[in-house]
Amino acid sequence: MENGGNSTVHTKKRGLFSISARENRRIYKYKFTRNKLSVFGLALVAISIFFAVFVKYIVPFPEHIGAFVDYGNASQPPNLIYWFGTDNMGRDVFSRVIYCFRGALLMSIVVLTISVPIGTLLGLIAGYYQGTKIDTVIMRLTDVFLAVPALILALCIASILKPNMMNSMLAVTLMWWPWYTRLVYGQTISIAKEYFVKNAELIGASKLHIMVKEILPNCISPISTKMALDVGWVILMGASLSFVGLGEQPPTPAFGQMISDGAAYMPDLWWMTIFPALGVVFMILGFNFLGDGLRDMFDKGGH
Amino acid sequence: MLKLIVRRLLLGILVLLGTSVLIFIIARVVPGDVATIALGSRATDAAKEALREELYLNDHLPIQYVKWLGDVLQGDFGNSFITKRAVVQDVKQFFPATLELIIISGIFIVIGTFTLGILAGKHKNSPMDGFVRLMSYIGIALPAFVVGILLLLLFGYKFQVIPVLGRLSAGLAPPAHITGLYVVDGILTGNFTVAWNAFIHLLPPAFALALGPLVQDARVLRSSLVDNSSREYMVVSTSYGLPSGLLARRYLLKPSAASAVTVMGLDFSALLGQAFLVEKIFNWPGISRYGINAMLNKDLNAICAVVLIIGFIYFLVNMVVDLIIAALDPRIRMGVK
Amino acid sequence: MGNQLLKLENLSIWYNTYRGYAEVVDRINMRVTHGEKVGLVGESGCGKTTTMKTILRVLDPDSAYIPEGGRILFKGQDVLSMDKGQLQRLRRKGVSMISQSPMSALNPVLTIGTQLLDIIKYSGCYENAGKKEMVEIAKEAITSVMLSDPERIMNSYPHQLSGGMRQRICIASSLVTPKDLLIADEPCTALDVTIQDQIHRMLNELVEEKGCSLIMITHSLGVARELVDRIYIMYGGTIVENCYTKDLFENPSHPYTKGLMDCVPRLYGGGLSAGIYGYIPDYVQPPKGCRFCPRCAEAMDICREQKPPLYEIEDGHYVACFRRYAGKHSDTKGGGAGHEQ
Repeated sequence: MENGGNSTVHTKKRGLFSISARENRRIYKYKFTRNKLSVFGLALVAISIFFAVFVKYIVPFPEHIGAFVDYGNASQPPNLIYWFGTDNMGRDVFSRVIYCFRGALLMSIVVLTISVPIGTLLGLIAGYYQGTKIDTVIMRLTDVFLAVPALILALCIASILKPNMMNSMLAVTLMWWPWYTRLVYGQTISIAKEYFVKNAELIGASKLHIMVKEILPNCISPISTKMALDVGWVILMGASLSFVGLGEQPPTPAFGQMISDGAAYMPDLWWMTIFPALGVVFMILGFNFLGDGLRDMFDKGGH
Repeated sequence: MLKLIVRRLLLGILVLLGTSVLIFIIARVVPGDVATIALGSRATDAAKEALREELYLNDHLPIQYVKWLGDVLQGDFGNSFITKRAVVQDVKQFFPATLELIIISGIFIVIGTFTLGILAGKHKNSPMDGFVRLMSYIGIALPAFVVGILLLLLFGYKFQVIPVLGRLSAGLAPPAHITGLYVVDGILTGNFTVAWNAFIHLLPPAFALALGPLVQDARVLRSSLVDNSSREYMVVSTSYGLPSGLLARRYLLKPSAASAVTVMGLDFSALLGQAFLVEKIFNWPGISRYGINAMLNKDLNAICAVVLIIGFIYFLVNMVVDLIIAALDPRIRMGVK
Repeated sequence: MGNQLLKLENLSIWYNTYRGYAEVVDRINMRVTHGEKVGLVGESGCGKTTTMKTILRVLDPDSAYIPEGGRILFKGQDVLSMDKGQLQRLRRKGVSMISQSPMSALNPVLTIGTQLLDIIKYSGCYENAGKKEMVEIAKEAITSVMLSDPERIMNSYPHQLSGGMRQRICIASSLVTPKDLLIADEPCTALDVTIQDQIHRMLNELVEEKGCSLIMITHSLGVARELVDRIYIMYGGTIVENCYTKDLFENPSHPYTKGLMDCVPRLYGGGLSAGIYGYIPDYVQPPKGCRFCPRCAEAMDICREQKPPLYEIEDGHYVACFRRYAGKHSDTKGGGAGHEQ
């Protein structure tokens, strides 16, 4: 059987047949694009990132994002000048909604960048030292943090501290890491039983080497899938927090905050609520589709 | 089986203790002076000192914890700074409302998940299946509070067919307090008007809470059904010529339900968290709304109580779900790896 | 024609993969007569299980495609065009299959008893039996596969039984109601060698006792030699040789068959064989001619161009090889699909 002319450099350990890296990428691309929604999600995510990064340059009224009032133009329904209308203080809803993307994305990045490594590390250690005191301590601690519904814990922490963006990010980070610990713990336990790990031990590889070089790479796909999906959840959590007034403080806009403010003026000024809601849905949908696509891509069940 | 339950209980108690420590630390490590926050800056020094004594704030933190725990175990969570009465009383008043809401939401989730999941799984790749998948994606992106707001808009203003605020319409008195669940109490006391009214009022918030989880769980069930339908044992059972109805119910649904039930359980526990926001929107006098107010106003005693109680319920729900799964899947029941 | 229980005619099966259609089975012909025991021998991945699953039509309709021209005739009726009712009857009374993985062939959340009773109840053979009678039938089936304590087994879940026990239960499930044809798909691959022998013997006895036909799929020539009357050798989705057991071992003809025989180490020395050079074909882009051609030491030009039909080189002994034809008299039309055999 011809191997397509590819050299077998960088083969990955997958069952009986080694596949070259190029073939691997082809399979990934095929699996990902098979589902049109994943590609759609990728597009949504790309747009969201674009909004977040370039908001100050693309919105028609950047000054409306900060402290700004113009009662003369207030409460206008969507029209040609103000695409999403203006709120009760005369601010352009469109510009403010686009700005929310930035805060939401920033929160996800910060929260995940901190909580994922910590959670993963703890999970690796606990899993590899399964059955020992270290395992018990780490996993019980994880259980304690997971014993209370996520939102409540986040609310709790965020409300105790001064309400601002930093503190709500801190709150969400503090309750996010246990999910990764659990995930990686489970993965580590099952991988540690595999032969290639036992072989590495027999050769005398250090525990650190085993954890980082043998076990961790095999966790990468569930971790990254979960991360992509989690971006959506963190955004949701952030929106929930800002809905009750925690997180970004006025006049800086945030999704939940805008929805909450707008709710008071329903149904007359419906655009104040509907558009931020659509915005948050847009972002969450995008990341969820993307995450699903990643999951399909890494799924070894396949055809 | 019994051993499993006992182990879980003990573990749960341990974890709850841990949670109590966590929440205690969070509550007490409040920046700023607790007494001032509680009583306001214009309170007298004497009043503040009295409060500090009451909350053991002058002791070292570990001793504070021990004393506080002692009180809690006797059922005393202290007084709320806001309502100025025992937190336990507040909880007793508000808890049934949330309980009722969560139970109805849970019922919606179960019915919806199985109906949609089975329909989608049976007619794989049909328009019905596509619809369920689409709904599940939307459901993920529509958090409960957004759905809540939309429902409020829809029924509160556009089509005023269902009342949206509160537990009962104005002018109706709640039924005699037996369980605190208005629908149940209404039925038990024969007061069907009130029972019906309470039920209608439950619909919008319960639906807001249930919609997201419902469609997502339906999708999980659908995936599970589709995955399991190509397993060897399904192929073998089909090859024996068993009738398709039997195959679907007994041979396919039973092993597939376990994963869906797991997710439903997780979502059900998450309802407690989501209820926080939904109660605020629909003006529902439940413990979640009470809890949010407590948190925003730094009502420490109330915060501790609410979080612990919710943690306890969460634990109970998780355990019940685990028991159900064990009943469904004998491999888990018998502890096979 | 009337004597034949099962006849596969020009059957091809293609799988839908990300690179296109994989032509896993290519225009094969097989027949089984009443009471006959037939072996289907070939290496992993050559299409044996796929073919058998198609007889019962339990392949996933989304991924498997059967191109026009193929027929599966069971007692004269084409299985591929049967309606639901006829198909059910085929599965309940005509054919049953024993899968090669006993570990996953039984439903994990149901007791053995439930699964057996369902088979009995819905087989259409015991319409008037009450529950007690059905339980007795089930227990009898369990003891017939040499398992003791049928009561306990009926109440057990699959994970509580060992692999050997599970495979016996699978055999019992297949034979608990009378069948015309039993397809055993490498029934002992997943089991210890010590058990293999027991189970093969037991299977043999049961089949003879019940008078049903047997198709035994195996990758071991040794097993085939012990158990079956006639052997089909399959390679790369095609039948390359087909003859009576005796003839195969006395006079193996096809280069692949010879290679297989070579692979078995001999008692009287001679070292290990060199194996068969090359790889199994890429089913998505299969060779135009003979599928074994790339690996064949005796390949000729015509082998690359055309698929060899089955030639009868002696009474009842057919080989799909141009090289063999070159030296033998044949009454074939040549080229394309094999002729009646």
